[in-house]
Amino acid sequence: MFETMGEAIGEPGQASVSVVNRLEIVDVAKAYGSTRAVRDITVSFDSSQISAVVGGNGAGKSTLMKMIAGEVASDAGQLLLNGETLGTGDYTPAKAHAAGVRIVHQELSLFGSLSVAENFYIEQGSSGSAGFGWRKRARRTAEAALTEAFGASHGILGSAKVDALNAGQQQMVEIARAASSPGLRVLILDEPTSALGIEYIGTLAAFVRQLQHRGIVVLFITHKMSELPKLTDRIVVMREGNLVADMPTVDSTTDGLLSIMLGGEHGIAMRSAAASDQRQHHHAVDAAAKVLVSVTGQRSQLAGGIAVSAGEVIGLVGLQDAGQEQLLRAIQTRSDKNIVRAGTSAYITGDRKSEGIFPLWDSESNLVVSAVVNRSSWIPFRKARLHAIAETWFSRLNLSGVAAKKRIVDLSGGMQQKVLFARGLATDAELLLLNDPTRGVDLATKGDMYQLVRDAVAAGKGVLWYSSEDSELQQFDRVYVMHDNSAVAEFTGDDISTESIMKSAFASQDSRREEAVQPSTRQRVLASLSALSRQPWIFAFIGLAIVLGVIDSKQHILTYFFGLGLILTLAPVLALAATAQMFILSVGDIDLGIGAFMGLIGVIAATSLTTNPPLGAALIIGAILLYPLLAWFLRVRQFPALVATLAMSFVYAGLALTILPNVGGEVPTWLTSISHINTMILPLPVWILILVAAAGWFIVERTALGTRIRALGSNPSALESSGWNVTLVKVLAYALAGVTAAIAGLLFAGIATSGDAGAADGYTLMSIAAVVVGGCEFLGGKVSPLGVVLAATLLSLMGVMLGVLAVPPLFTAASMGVLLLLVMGLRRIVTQARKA
Amino acid sequence: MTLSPAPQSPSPLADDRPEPRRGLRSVTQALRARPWTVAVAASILIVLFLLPISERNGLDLLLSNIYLASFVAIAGFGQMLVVSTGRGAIDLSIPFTITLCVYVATIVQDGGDQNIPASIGLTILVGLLVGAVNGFAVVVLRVPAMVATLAVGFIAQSIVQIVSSTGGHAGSSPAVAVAARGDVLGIPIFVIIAVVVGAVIAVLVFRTGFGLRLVGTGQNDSSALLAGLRPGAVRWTAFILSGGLAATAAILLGGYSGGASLGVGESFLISTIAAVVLGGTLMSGGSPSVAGTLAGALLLTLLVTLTNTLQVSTGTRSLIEGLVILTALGIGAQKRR
Amino acid sequence: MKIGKISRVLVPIAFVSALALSGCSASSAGTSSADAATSAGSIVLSNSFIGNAWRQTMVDDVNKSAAAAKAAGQASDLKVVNSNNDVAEQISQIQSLILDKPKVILLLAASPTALNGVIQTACDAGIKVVAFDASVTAPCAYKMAPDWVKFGHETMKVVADKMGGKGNVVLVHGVVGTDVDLGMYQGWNEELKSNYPNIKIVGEVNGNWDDATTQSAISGALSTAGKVDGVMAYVSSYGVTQAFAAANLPIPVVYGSNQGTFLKWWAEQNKANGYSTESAMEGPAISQAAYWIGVNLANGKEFDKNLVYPTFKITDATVAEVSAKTANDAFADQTWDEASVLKQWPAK
Repeated sequence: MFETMGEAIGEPGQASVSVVNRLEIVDVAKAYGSTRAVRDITVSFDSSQISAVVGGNGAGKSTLMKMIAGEVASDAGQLLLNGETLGTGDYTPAKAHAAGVRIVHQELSLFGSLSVAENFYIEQGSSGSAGFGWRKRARRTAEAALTEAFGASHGILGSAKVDALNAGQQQMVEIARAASSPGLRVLILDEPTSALGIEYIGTLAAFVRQLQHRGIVVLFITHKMSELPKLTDRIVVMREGNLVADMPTVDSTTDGLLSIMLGGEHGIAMRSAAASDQRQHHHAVDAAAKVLVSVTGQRSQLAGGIAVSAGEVIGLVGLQDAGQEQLLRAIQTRSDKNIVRAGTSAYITGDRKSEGIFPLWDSESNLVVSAVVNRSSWIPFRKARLHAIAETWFSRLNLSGVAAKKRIVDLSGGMQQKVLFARGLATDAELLLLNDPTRGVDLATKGDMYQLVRDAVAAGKGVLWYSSEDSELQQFDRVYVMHDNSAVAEFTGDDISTESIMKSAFASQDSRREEAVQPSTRQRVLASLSALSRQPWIFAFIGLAIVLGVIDSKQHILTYFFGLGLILTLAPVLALAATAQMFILSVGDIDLGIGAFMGLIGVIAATSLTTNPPLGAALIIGAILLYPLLAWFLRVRQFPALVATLAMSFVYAGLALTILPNVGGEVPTWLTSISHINTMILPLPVWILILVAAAGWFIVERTALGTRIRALGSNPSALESSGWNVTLVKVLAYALAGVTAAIAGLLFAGIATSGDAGAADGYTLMSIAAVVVGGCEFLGGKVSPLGVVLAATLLSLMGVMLGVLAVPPLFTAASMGVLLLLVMGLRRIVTQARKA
Repeated sequence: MTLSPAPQSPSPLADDRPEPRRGLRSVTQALRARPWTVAVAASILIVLFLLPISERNGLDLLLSNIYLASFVAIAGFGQMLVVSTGRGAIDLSIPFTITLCVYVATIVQDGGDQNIPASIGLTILVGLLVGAVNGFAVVVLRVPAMVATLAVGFIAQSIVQIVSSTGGHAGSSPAVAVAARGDVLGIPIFVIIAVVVGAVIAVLVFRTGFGLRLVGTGQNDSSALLAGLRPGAVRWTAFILSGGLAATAAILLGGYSGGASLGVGESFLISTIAAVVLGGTLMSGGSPSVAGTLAGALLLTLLVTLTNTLQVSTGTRSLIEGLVILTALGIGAQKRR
Repeated sequence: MKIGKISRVLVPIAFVSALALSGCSASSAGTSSADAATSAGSIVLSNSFIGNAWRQTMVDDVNKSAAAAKAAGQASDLKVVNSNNDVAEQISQIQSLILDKPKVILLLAASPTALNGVIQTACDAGIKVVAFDASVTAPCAYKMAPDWVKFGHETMKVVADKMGGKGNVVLVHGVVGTDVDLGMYQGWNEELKSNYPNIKIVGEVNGNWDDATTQSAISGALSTAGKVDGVMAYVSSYGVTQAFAAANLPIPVVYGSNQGTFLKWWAEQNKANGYSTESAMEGPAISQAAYWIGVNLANGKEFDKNLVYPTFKITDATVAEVSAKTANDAFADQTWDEASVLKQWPAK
C-alpha cells in the first residue's frame, strides 16, 4: 500500500533533541451561519514532529489552517505560539507573517507578471528592505532559497517572470518563498505535492525534514495517503469539525485512517471503491466501438497516435505539466487541426476556480448550464424541466437540496467538484475529458467520482483522464505517457505501473538532454527577433517609425529642427496623460476622468495660479489629492473604477466650470514660457518625451513601490496576504497618476496660454488608446512605460500624417479608426504567428 | 438562507427573494436585493421633489420623462448586453451608430410612407453590420473593446459626415412621426415599444441558452470556453445585438425629430453607460439587469429635467450628475469583507 | 532573457541618436518640398469641426470661392483641414500647416484662447491669420464675426414685441462656453432686464445648435414648465417647433433659423394662420468673406483688425420666396464675391 519511490528519507518519528517552537490551539471554534466548521478544537503542534492533518469532506482542516494563518477570524478560543497569543478577532495575515506563520495554499498566490525575485521581495512584507541594490539582494535570496529547498538543479532563474514558469516550477517557487521568510516559525503546506513533479517530492521531504530540525513547526494538509509515511511523523484526523484521532504515523494504516475519517460503516463502501488492489475493468474493448477522438502530428510520437474509443477509460500520465492539460483543452475547444473529434465531449476540470465554476451563480445553475446551452441558444427553456435535471444529479451525487440553492462559492471544494462532474455528465456527451478532477478532494468524494466514471463507461462513454495520482492508475484500461507535449509511450492493462511510466518519462528527458546542440547563427537571429517581437512596445515603435517616415517624405521633418519641435509640441502632453493612465492601469483600473481633470488643473492655472500663486498651488495640490482619495474609496467601497472615474469626470468638469464658467483667464508667464525654451541637439518636446519615458520606466520597473504596484495589478489578494497594506499601494499608485496628470494639465495650459474647462477632454480616450497601442494590458497589470510614450508620440502625429497625405477632411475620423485597428490587428497577427 | 449578502446576479434557476426582516437593516438589504431598487427609489425621490415646483401635473411630468427615457432605454439594452460579457467590454460606438442609422432611415423614407418596411429593414441591417465589425475587432483581432468600438465609431462618424454632406436632410415618414406622437390608452406608443423590447431582451437574457451563455461568459471566460458556452460567439453576438438595438432607437428617433441631424446620437454615449450603471448592471460582467436599465434611463432623464428646471449653471449640473452616479454606486456596492 | 534586456535599452538609444544626428545637421531655415498644393502663396483653412450642416455648407461655400479665384488666376489652391472639436488636434494641425508656409490661415477656432500660442507662432512666421465666426483673443489675428451682444439685443426685441411685452420665455443655448453663445445670451438678458420687465424666463436649455438635441431639451423642459409664450433660439429653431408639436401644445413665438426645414415650416404656418416671427443668422457664407479678405491680405492689402459681419435677415414678407429657393438642409444666405467684400470692408 505504501509504495515509496525509493527509500524513506530521513527517519520518521525520530524526535529532535529540543523543542524550539510550539503552536497551541485552545478551544478554537468557527461557524459559518448555522454550519459549524470547527468545533472547540484543542491540539498542539511543535517542532519535534512533522504533522499532517487529514480528514474527509467538510472536516474543517482548511478552516483550521486558515485560522492559524490569520486568514479567517475564529469565533472563539485562542491561538498561542510559544505561549504568546496570536490574537483573536484582529489577527490578520500581516500579523501572522510578523509572528512567523506562513501558509502555502493549494491555489498559488504568486504574482504572474513579476519576476521570481520580485515575488520574494513582496513576500517579505513591510520588513523587506527597499534600499539601494534591493533587486540584486532579492534575486540572490530567491535563488538561494530555491536551491536550499530543491537542490541545485532546479533551474529557475531569479529574473524569470513567474508567468513563464510551468505549474510545478511555480509551486516550487511558492514553497521556497514561504520557507525562506525570515523569522519563520510555523509552515503550513496545503496539498504541496499536487502540482509538484514526482521527481521533486523526495527533495521536498528532505527539505521539510531540515526545517523541522531547525525548529520550525511543519504542518501538512494532504489527501495523498501514500505520501504520509514519507513526509510525516504524526497524523491528526478531523471529522465534521472535531478532532477524532491523533497518532504517530508509524502506527497508522490507510484502512484505519479511512474508517476513522469516514466514521465507520460508510467507510466500507468507499474503501472497496477507492482502495482496491485489483484492476477496475478487465473487459476487452469492443473493436467496433466508435473512435471518439484521435490525435496525430506533433502531439504524439507513437505510431498510432492517441485514440480514445467508446467504452474505454484512457489515462494521460507522466510528469507534471507535460502537456496533458493542454491536450484535453485542445480536444474540447477543437483548436488543433491534428485532433479529430468525432462526437460530443464534456470537459471536467479540477482547477475549479480559474476554469470551472461560475462564481455568481448557485450550484444548481452551475450544474445544468452546459446541458441547457447545448439544446438551443434561442428558444426559451422551462425552469421546471431544469430543476428536474438538477435534482436528479444532486441525488446521484449525494448532495443535499440545500446545497443546490447556495452560491457555488459557498460550497466546499469537494462539493464544487461534484457539481462540475455532474455538469459534464449532464450533457450526455460521448467523450469525457477529465483534467485531474480529484485534485485536492477528499477520499469519499473521490470514491463517488470513480463510481460515476464507471457508470458512464458502462453506458458507452469514452473517458480521457489526466491523473496526477498513482492510486488512480488502477482506473485505466490504457495510459499514454506524456512528455514535453507529446505522447511518448503507451501501456495497457497490467503493464500500467508507476515504475513503467516514470521510466519512459525520464528516458525521454534524458535523450532530449543529449540532443542539445549549439544554436546556429540563423537560429540566434531568429531567437533575438522573436524576443524583440515580444517586447510590448515594439508595435508602437514600428508604427511611429512608419508615421515619421511618411511625414518626412513630404516635409523633410527629421532634418528640420524647428519643424520637428513644432509638430511634436503636444506629444509630451499626451505622453504624460498616457503615463498617468498607465499607473492607473497597472493596479488594474482605468481612468475615464483624466481629460476633465487636466481641464480643471488648466483652469486653476489660468486663474488663481496667476492672481494668487499660493492659493493656486494649494488648489492644485488639493485637486491632485482627489486621486488618492478616490483610490481609497474604490478600495473601501469596491466601486468599479470605470464608473467611478466617469462620475469623477463630471465632478472635475463641474468644478472647473464653476471656477471658470467662460473660457479665458491667463496662465502665468513662467508656465507659458516653458514651451519656448531653446534646447540643443534635440527639440524640447523630444527631451521631455525621453524624460517621461525614463522616469516612467524607472518608477515602474526599478523601484520597490513600482514592484508593489505591479503586484497589485497581478494578484491583489496575494499582495494582501503577504502583509502589505493594499489600500496604501493603490493610494500611492493613484497619487502618482494624479501628479503626472497634473503635470500634463499644466503643460497643456502653458501651450494653450489660457484656461478652458473642456479643452482637454479628448485626452481621456486618447490616453487609453495610447496605453493600449503601447502594449499595456487591461488585465493582469502588465504595463510598458516606453511603449506608452512611443504610442503617445505616434498618436499625436497621426493627424499630421493624414494632413500631409492630403486625406480628404471627411475621411479624417475614419482614418484614425482604421489606423488604430490596423496597429492592433498587426499585433494580433504577429502574436499568432509566434505561437505557431 | 444564504450566508453572504444577496448576490447581484439571480441565478437562472433561483426563485425566491431572501426572507424579509424588520428594521433599518432590512431597508438597506431590500435596497440591495434587486439591482433596480436604487434607481427606482431615486427616481421617485426626484419626481416628488419636482411636483411642487412644476407647473404640470404629476402624470404629465412622469409620462413625458418616461417617453424621453425610452430612447435611452432601448440603446441602453445594447450597452447592457455588451457590458455583461465581461472583461471590460463596452460599446463606445453607439452614438455614431445611432446617428448613421437615423440618416439611413430618413433617407430611405424620404418624407413618404411607402418605404417604411424597407427603411426599417435597411436601418437595422446597418446597425447589425456596425455591431458585426465591432465584434470582429474584439473577438478576432483581440482589440480591447474600448479601443475597438472607439475606432469603429470614428469610421462610422466619417461615413455619417460623407452621407450628410452629399445627400443631407431628408424628412422622416409622416406615419412614423405620427407614431411618435401617438398613444394607446394614454401610454405613448414609443414607451410601449421600449417596454416590449425590454421584455424580449429579458426573455433572451434570463430564459434562453444564449442568455446563460452571455451571463456565464461574463462571470468567467475560461469556464465558459471549456463548458461549451462558446464565449467568442457570445461576445460577437452581443455587439451585433447592441448595433441592432442602436438602430431600433434610431428609427424611433427619426420619427421623433422629423428628420436627421448630425448631433442626434451625441448624448447617447454617456447616457447609455449611465443608465446601465445606475440600473445596477455590473460593469465587471455577468450580471445584467433589464429592469435596472429601464429604471436607470428614467432616473437619468429625470435628473436632466431636474437640473433644467432648477436652472442651475452648467458647472453645477455636471457636479450633480457626477455625485448622483457616485451615490448610486455607493448604495449599491457591498462593503469589503 | 538577456537578449530582451539588451534590445530594450539599445533600441530606444538607437532611435534617439538617429533623431539627434538628424537634428544636428539641421539648418534653422528648413526646406519644404516643392509640392504644388503647399507652395508659398497659398491659403489654408483650419476648421475646428465639420460635424454639422452649417459647417459643411461653410466649407462648400469657401471652396466655391476658391475655385472662382483660381480660375481668375488670383490665388492657388485652398487647403482645408478639419479637427474634431478637439483643441489639441487643431493646435497640432495649425503647427503642421505653418510648416507649409502659406500666406494666409483662415481659422474657425475650437477655443477663443487656447490657440493664441500657435496663432502667435504663425504671425511670427509672417503668416496672416483671419479668424472668423468663432473669435479669438490673439492680438495679431484679424477677427471677422457679428457683434453678438448687439445681435442678442436685436433678436430678443423682436420676440419680446411679438409676445406683447409679457409672458414666459425659454432661452435655448448653443454650445455652452463659446463666445457666440455668451455674447447672444448677454444680449438677450440685458434686453429683457432693461426693456421688458414683464417677461419671465422660465427655462434655459442646452440646444447645442442642433435640432435633435434642442428638441429633446425642450421636451424635457416642457414636462415641468407651464405656459410658454416665446422661445429664443438660434439655428435650431426647427427642433423647438418639433418639441411643441410632439407635446401637442400650441407653438409660441420662436425666433427663427435660416435653415430650409424651418423656413418651409414657417412659410406654411404663415400662410395658414399668419404665424409671425423673424429670422437672422450668421450664414455659412462668412467663409467666403473671410476668404476674399485673405486673398487681398496675401496680395499686400491691409484691413482693420476688427471686421464686423452683417447677419442675413428674413421676415414674414420674404419667407415664402426664400424658402422656395432653399433646400431642407441648406441655409438661406447671402453670397460674397471680391467686390462686395471690399465694399463692406474697405481696404486701408
